[in-house]
Formats: sequence, C-alpha cells, structure tokens
Amino acid sequence: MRHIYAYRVTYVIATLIVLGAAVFAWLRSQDIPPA
Amino acid sequence: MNRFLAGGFWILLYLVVVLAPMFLMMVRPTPPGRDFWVEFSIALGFVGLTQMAVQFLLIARYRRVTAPYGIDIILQYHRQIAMMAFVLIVAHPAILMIRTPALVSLLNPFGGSWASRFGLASIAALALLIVLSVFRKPLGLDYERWRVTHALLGIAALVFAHAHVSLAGEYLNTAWKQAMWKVFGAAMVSSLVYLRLIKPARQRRQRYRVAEVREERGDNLTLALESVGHPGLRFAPGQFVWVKLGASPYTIDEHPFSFSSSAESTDRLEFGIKALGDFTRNLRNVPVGTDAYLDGPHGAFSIDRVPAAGYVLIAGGIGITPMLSFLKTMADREDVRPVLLVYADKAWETMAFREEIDALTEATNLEVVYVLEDPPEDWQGETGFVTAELLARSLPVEKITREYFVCGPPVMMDVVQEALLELDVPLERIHTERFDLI
Repeated sequence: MRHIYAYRVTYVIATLIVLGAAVFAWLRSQDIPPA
Repeated sequence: MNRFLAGGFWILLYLVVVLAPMFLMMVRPTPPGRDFWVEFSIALGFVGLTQMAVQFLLIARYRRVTAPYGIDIILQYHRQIAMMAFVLIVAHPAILMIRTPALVSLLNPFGGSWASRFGLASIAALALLIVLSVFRKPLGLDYERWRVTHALLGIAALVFAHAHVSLAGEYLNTAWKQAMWKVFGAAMVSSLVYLRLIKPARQRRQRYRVAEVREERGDNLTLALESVGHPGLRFAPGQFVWVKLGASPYTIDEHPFSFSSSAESTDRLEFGIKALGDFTRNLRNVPVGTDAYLDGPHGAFSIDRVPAAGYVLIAGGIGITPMLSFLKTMADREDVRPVLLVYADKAWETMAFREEIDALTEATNLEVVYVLEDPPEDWQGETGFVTAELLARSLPVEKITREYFVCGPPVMMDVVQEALLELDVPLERIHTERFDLI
C-alpha cells in the first residue's frame, strides 16, 4: 500500500518541481530588456 | 510528531530545498532575461542539479527522515526521482539545442568549451550510474563493488555539474551565489561522511557478538547476536537492521536482515536469513564470538504501527521472518488478538520455522494455513499458490477490521495484493515490504 501511495506522491512532487521551473522561466522571461 | 504530519513536512521541505536555490538566482544582480524556453531549460538544469545533490541525503538513513515512510520507500523514491532528475538534466541541453541547432556541436567533447565538456561529463557519469544500477545483476556486478562505483559516479556527476554551472552559468555572477551552490553540494555529500564515518563510530560503542548460527529448513539460517556490555537494541517487530560482521564497523560490507525474534527481547537478537548470495551462504562458517555491528532499526512494516482488532499475515518463503517476529512479540506480550497466518512455500520439508510456528499456536491466538506448491502425497492442506479463492476460503468473516501484512517474493506480493483488493480488503489495510533494496 505504502509503495503505491509513494509512486503517486513521486509524480506529484515531479510535477510541482517542473511547474516551479516553469514559474522561474516565466518570471525571468518577463525581464527581457527592450530591444 | 504525528506520522502523517511528519510525512507531509519532509515532502514540503524536499520541495523547498530543491526549488529554493533556483529562485535565489533571481536575487539581483541577474543576467538579462531571455525567452521562456531558454530560461526554462536553465531552470531544469538547476532543479536537476539540486535533486542530484539531495540524493545523497536520501541514502544516509537519517531515522527522523525515514521513520514516517520506511526506508524501502525512501530508496524507492531515490530510484524513481533519480530517473526524473536525469530526464530534467538531459532536457536542459536538449531544449537549447532544439532552439539553436548550432549548439549540437557542443556534443563533441573536443569542440566547445570547458563548460560544455563538464556538462557532458556529468551527464555521462549519471548515465553510467543509472545503467549500472538498473542492470547490476545482468552485468554480474557484485553489491559491494556496485556501491562504491555508485557513490564515486554520483560524486563525479555532481562535481562536474558544479564545474559546468560555475563556468557557464551567467546566474552565478556573485561570490555568494557561487559559494551557496558549493556549500549546498558539499553539505549534501557530507551525508556520506555521516553514514560511513560518524554512524560507525557510534556503532563501535554498541558492539554485538555472534551467539549462534543455526541451520533451518530449506537452506535458511538463523543468525543470533548478543549485545556486549549494553542493553541491546529496541525495535518494533517486523523491522530490520544492516548487519556488519567482523572487526570493524567501518566496513561497507553490510547486509539488511529482518528480525525474527521478539521485540521484547533486546539483548539477544535473531534474524531469519535465506542463503542466497555469497555473503549469506558463507554465514554458516562465521564462528561464534565474531564481532557484529548494527545500523538500525529501520523499516515501517510492523504491527506496532497499525493497531487493529486482529491481523492477517501472508508470507511466502523467507518472507516468514518478520511474521515470526510479530508472533513471538505477541506471545511475549500475552497479546490475544486473533491472527491468521497464511504461509506458502515449495515443500513441507523446506518450510522454515514451521516447528516454531506450531509452538506459537499454543502461546497466541494464531491460526495457520500452510500452502504447498509441491505437496507430499498424503497432504490434506492447501496446495498451489495463494490465490483469491484460497484467501476467500481462509479469511475471517470480520476481514474488513483486520490489518494485512504481506511479505514474500515480489510476484507473490503483487498477486496477493490484487487478490485482497478483489476480496474488498481496503488498500490502506494492506501492508507490504519490498526487501529488494538494491
């Protein structure tokens, strides 16, 4: 049982990490200096 | 702290630790922003790097971290998240190359810069580390050699990645940002120092001695250890320890064994062991009096964690070991809650500990169903494998109120878990231990 929940939690953690990276990228891309 | 709260706390802390260094890179001065995909690729590199470093923390067997989940879960997470981190790390250059195809030339280690060479070296080390871990057995790599190689490749991958970030990273444009990454990486790797030097130094003061090595049926052994000059080890029935035999606790030659003895007896510890590998086969020749050192107790597979009106224990082969610990502990505690034990093995003659189990039916409220794959001619009991039909015949009427513990070969555990679900046993009542820690 624990193993099944652990697999699910891992996918949630992985998704949150990728989302965090996307937030970072979005915030940084707002900081593009004007050409 | 409540186990569930503690479990949630460590997951939250993990997310903060993995994401924080990346977000700290946003503290000014920062390089000029670039388009989303370039920044996303860099972000994946950063989180991949922190995850790689945190992997060292996960394997250090910090009891506070492992207790809410069980160490088998932490190791399962270590393996799974490593794959994910590897994908993120590979995605970092891949996205850049898709956006700017000319960057493909950096894949040539003789071209490019030192930054790209270190990046390549880091990915190569990680790839090799994963291949050796996934295919350790088919490649014939023994466990001890694999562990050393695994640690060295992990450290190499991390050091190369740091060199890559320092040389290439426009984000590491201040001394404190450079220092933060180095300190973070070093702090994580120092977990190895804790595991290999600090913990063994403590174990030195808690010495044990081999009291007996007893042959059991079916090529199984009981290893008995006695504490030397200290009260022994408090553990929960069903837990396990890493055992090191010989003169030094600093050896990396250690093996996880489950207790087969009662948790009420802390100064004499017994372990049920199947003679499978070189180490376990040679255990027979270990002389009485040999020094032993223990790392533990570890594991979350215990009746003490899940109070219930009664238990159903389903064991296959040497998976009987933790069940034996449950039953002996219950006998010592004069615990009269009903227990059904379904114990499956190949043959009656090779069924380990069956005399002890029969004796325990007198001391506890235990009912045993033996299941033989290859029964003798006059066998009246169950035969074949543990199936849903067999369990439907054997389980008590009040099956919903019981907690279920399953331990045995991985295929058997999968089949039994499916069978229990088929019989409407709730998933949260089924507890398994996957002992394949490698």
